[in-house]
Amino acid sequence: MRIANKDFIGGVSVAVIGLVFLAGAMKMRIGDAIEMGPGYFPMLASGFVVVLGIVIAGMGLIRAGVRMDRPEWRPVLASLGSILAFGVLLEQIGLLPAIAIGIVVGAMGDPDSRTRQTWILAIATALLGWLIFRVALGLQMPGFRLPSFLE
Amino acid sequence: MGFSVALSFQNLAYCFIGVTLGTAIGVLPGIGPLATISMLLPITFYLDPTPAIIMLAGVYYGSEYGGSTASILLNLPGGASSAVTCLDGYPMSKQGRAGVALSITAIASFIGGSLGIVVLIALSPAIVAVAFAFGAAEYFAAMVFALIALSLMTGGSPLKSLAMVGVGLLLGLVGTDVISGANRYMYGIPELSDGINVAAVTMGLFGITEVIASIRNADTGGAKQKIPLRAMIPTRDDIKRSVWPTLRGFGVGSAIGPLPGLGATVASFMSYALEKRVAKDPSRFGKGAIEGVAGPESANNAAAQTAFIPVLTMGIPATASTAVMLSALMMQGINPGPRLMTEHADLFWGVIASFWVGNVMLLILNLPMIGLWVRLLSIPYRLLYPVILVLICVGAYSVKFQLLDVWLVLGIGALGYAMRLLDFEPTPMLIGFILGPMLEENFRRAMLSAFGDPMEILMRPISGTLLVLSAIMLLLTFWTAIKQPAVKPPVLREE
Repeated sequence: MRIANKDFIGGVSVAVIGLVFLAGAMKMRIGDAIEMGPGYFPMLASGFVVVLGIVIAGMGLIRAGVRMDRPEWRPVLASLGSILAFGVLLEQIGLLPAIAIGIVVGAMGDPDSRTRQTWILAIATALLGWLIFRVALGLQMPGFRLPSFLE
Repeated sequence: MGFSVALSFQNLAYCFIGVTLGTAIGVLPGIGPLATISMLLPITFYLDPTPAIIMLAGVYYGSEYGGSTASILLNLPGGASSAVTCLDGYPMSKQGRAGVALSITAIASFIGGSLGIVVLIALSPAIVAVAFAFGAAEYFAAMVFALIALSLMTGGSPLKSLAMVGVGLLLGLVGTDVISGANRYMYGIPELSDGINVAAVTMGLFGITEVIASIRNADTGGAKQKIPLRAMIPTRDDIKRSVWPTLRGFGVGSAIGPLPGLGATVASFMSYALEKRVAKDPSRFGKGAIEGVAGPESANNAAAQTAFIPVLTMGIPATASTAVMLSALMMQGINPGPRLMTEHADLFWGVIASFWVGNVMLLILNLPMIGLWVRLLSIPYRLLYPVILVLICVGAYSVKFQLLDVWLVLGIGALGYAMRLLDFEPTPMLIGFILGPMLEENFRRAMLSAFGDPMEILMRPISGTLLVLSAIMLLLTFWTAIKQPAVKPPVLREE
């Protein structure tokens, strides 16, 4: 029996998600079958998810399931880090630097990335992005901005 | 009537932009039609409903077509539905016949797509007539049926897919309850009151996840071929060999397209299997048989068009791509369903006419523009994916100018990657998410008019039949899951 198999981990995770939503549903007004409150359908749906999660996890335990693949940490962390960096920087210092730094962080996901190429790409995309989104489409995003602690 | 809408200058322009952008992005390996649509979805929020949906549809079939180009030239499918094209398209390319493979792809796609539109036009009024008789109970039953059928057929473990439908339903609950006005699962975040943004969900589930998975695996830069226009002219023999596969592909595609959970990918695989079966010499397949390109390409385009039948007539999507388009329509304030054809007749027929216009554009555009796509393919992926990541972020932010949507992309992207590791399919989750609110609303209305008695819903002929069928499918799912051999044969998927 292998605990670290795809079905067991997956099933347990699904059941946990279901339980979180079930707990939320219980705090709402449930109502009755004729006039359902906001919590009625969420209760049914999350109950359904919990049951499925338990069944999937149970099957994973009974059978010698498939071992989980190791996540490829480098691409994962770089990609998610790129989004994180963009989100943190956008409203702090503006669109241009957010795009550039987002790209630099993202490029770390591939070991073959070359520093100089990456920076050229970052600056070119930032300028293009600023032209397209800010100048051409006129989206309400600051191109550049001083960080709030410097103002 | 539809053509006057489709041929207006503005709509032609959006169709052109959609088809071109769709092909350009779809060509890139590791970015399938869904990721392409989700990246471009935010742009359409700024448009009127008709051009928005025309452009999105253009993106959709453009990216399907672009995917085949990558399959033929690089052996790297742009998306799942063009994976089959690799089998014979790439060998043709190695034999120096890439040009012919590409032109046959364009022609077969065009014929399959055009005939698929004819089916769409022919069947829609009849289905609309039936759908007009639907009340809340029938809609509820039809959605339950679609969701369960989808999980059974979407590939992978049906139980896990069903669980994903459930998780999708739960995510769809977040926000203000339209009936009671109560806040649900908002955890004190006011920006969530309209619910979780669909664009963020699709970009996270499909865009981010596909990028992460492709960073190490998609190696572009292999396409150095030059393809002159003359090399694209198929010989008489090529054409003769392609006629029947194209027509059979259309048959397979249009039969499968409207069914829940199947869509273009399954259609192309089935068409390939069929061609191999009817061939006089099946050993030619896999070595550059033109039939193996023409059939599946016709099939996936026919399926891509007929998949619109349930969405446009009933508002119930059968595939992930049409589900995204459904949500785009709803965000424009249009409720798809049988009324769409009567109340928004210009939109309905305009969109259908534009499907065909888009197919014509693909045919005319792509033959001369192949060189451009080839050059696009020679950009290494390591220079492409960081740009894609940032574009997704800008796109998510630009929907409502709130950072929350960027964080949602981040969270859902992480969830999507975890699901991939654990073999959970993303498509059922997306469709559950989009159908969730409608499912709940119809359930509540149906139960209200049935005075809270579920038997009342079961006794109505249409909803009863659909629900009984759903129950049978559900039992079958559990039964086959339990009956599987206790110890699986040594793992195939542990790459």
